[in-house]
Amino acid sequence: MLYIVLFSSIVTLILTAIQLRIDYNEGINVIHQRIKQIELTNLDSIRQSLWTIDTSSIQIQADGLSRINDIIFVEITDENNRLVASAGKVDTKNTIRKNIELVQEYRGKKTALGTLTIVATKENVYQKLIDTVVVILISQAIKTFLVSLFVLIIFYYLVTRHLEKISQHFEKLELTSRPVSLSLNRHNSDNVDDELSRVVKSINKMSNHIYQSYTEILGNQHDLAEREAKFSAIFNSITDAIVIVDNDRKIIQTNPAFHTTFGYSKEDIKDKTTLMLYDNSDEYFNQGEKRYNPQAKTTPGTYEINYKRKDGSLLPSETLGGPINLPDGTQLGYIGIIRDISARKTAEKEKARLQKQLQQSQKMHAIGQLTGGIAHDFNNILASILGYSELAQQITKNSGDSKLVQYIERINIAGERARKLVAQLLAFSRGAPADLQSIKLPVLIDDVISLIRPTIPSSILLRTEIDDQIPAVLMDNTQMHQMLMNLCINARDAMTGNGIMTIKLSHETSVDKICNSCNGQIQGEYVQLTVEDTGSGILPEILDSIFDPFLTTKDVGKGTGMGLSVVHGILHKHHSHIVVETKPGSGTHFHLLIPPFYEDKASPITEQPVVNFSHDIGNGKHLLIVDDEETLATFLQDFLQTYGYRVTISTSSKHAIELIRHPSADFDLIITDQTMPEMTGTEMIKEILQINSDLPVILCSGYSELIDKDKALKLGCSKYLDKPIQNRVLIQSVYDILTTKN
Amino acid sequence: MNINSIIYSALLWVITGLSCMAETQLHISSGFTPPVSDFFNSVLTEADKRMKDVSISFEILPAERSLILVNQGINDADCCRIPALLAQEYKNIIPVDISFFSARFSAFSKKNDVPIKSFTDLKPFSVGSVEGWKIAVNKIKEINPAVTHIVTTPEQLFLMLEQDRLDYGVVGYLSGLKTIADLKLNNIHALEPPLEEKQLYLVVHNKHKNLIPLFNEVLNEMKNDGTINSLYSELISSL
Repeated sequence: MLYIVLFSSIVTLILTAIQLRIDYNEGINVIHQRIKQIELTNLDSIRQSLWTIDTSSIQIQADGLSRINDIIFVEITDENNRLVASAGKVDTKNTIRKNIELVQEYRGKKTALGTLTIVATKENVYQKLIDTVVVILISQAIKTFLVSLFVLIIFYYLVTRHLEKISQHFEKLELTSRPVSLSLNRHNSDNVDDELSRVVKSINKMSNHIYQSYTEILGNQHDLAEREAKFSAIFNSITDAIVIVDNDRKIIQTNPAFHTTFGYSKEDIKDKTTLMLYDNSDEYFNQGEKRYNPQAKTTPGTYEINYKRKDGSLLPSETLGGPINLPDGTQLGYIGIIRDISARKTAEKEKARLQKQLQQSQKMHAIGQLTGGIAHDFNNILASILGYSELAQQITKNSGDSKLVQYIERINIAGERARKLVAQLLAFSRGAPADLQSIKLPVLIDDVISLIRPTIPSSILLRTEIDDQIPAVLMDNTQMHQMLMNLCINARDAMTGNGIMTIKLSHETSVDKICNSCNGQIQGEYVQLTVEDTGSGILPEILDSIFDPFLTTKDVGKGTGMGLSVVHGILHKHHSHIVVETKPGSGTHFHLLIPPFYEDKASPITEQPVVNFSHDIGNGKHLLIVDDEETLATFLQDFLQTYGYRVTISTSSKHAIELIRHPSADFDLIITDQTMPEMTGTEMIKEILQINSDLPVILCSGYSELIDKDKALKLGCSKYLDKPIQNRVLIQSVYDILTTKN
Repeated sequence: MNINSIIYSALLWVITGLSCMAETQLHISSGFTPPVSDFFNSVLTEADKRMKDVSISFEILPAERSLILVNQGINDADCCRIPALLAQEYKNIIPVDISFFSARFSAFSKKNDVPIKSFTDLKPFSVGSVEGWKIAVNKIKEINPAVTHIVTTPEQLFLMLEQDRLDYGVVGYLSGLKTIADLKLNNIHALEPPLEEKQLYLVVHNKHKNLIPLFNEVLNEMKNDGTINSLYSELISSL
């Protein structure tokens, strides 16, 4: 209805506008014709009056013209544009103005006389138009209303009421129930075959189709939702990171494990490609060629690759990747299942390290046992050689046979060298005894530098970087001294020509390194003693063997190959480690990492006063010497007897026990070896002390993994001595124990 | 026709043509009507005869239109004007130096009992004049007589005098006489002395400035040899 009225109104307006335009043009034409008429009838008389300058006549004519219909103003000016006459006034903007030049032909020439200006108003035309508009609009409005009303009634009866019913039918239509058939209230509707009846049939057909389709969709949706729920549960619960990308490798879906693994939030990966997951762009493009290229037709597979986390750290992974294809072969993108194998890698690395550590430990243990055994036998032999050579020296020093004295002296020197070598072997195999003391390393370093400096060529600069405030360490002073010496000598020998040797001492509160000699993990607080050189460095292929005994890169006769072996043995006996940093051609850094010692009771290094004993200090005291090495036992018997002791020897520990059990036994002191075939020294001592707990015992050992000084003292021994025993030390120990006992 | 005849004819034609080209055509208009215009025409005709290389034609026009056309340069001269009255409005017009006519404004009346010697004497009376006689009209407006009538023609003025609708009418002396003669009015006469007398001069457009000495010379000559007076006398006698 509204549209009909609108359309009718628009048509009416357009037609009215056309009508008005025609009327307007006619009105304007009338005015122009009126002006034209003035020109035809009045122009000559005005021109004549102007020629004769008859101003009163001109004024009269102007007045006459201004009274003509629509003419509201007339003005006549002379040739100089001066006003000659005017009539009327212009009180509206809606005017038509006509200027007529007044020309007189005089003596064959046209002479300007002036201008006649006529102004006509268009107000009358407009007023007429307004009157016309009012009439047209009112009549058209009435006509439009009546026609629209009629059309509305007809349209409602034929169409609108049926459309309303169709609309109500659709409003009631529900997809969840079978649709009710639509029928219209029309006269003889069954026999009518027009547009509406066809629409009704189509609607009924469509409703049935929709209902069937909806029912099918509902079923499909349920299946789809079930599959989606299962997929989501799997996708979100898998602990491996899953990323799904499109064919341009842009990330389109990730699971929670992805964000946990890589550290990226959902915002971080929005509209990004997987380039952000790679350590470098080359790897990204390389993987793209290999695995994300549809033409490559790669099959899904597992591969190891290092990705990069958000924090920049590398993520070692085992990735299963492959394309996502629709049943028709269309490739949607790719899926990558990324398993973080950093823990596995670390474990593998740790396992390898531990294996290496175990191998090293076993190797060192085997070598240690070998060298220890050799050292033990050598010690027994050396004890005899050195003991008897010392005795021979005492006997022959006043004999006057200088040659013999010299020979014995050389035997003694050679024996001493052998003893030192055995001491190194023992040190390596941890068999060497340690006299633990609180040591101020700056002092010890000064001592070593004073010893080593004279042996360093002037072409080598010796520097120190010592932190004097570092804690003390609990070490055997001699062994510490020996270790530093060995390292300094190695550093010196590694540099030919110019070079710099640097000794550093620092306090490291948080060490986390791997020991190069035992492959053990080093963690915690340590005092770090470093010896650096700028020499040739160590070749990588021998780096794992540098702590093996008798391995040397020095020329024949310049090194025993025991230097670093001794360092290894001493360090690990003191729960310390060594880290080696080397670069062939640039030099080597040896870092000794020693636990700090904070005990205040650390006692200063004191030396025993050297006492000269007379040959009757024994005063008939009875000593029992137990050693399976008969030569050594005999030597000790001979040596101690020279000081006035009564000495009984036994080469069997069981026999020795029997001697002690004997009722007549009057032993004041037992001196026994540790390693014996039937019963070890410690086992024998336990029995002896059960027999007579007051009986003092000195335990001697060339090499044993079972005993050391602490264990011996704890067992009840009065003294523990390392073989080979210097005569002076032995006599001092015997004297001290017996004197204290009395 | 031989060749010499052709050459002579050609030369004669050229010379004649050149002499024709050298002659100045002057169209002189006048705002005066007869009999004054007749007098002017006679004087200018005689001057034309005396001025070599100048040819004068004469025409009567409405007085104001005559001046406008000369000022615009359409006409060449106006005969004749009081120069002082023109100087401001008509800037392209200049007068010759010799005046050969004086305009006399006389009062005409049936009366003869009151001595009228100036315009002021007319104040108590009903007075009329004719449009175009500017000096007379302006003077009358200036004195503002008891009644004033400015009519369009001398005939109107004198008929009003005849019918006693006016006491006095003021126009040019010669025009008044001619109108009286034309209307055969016996009881109206010109009062003596005239109310105003002004010397009139021929005025020419600027472009003819070079002809002023010639006009001066010819008019002076005509005054001196009595030609002017003779022509004026002829005019008076004709009225």
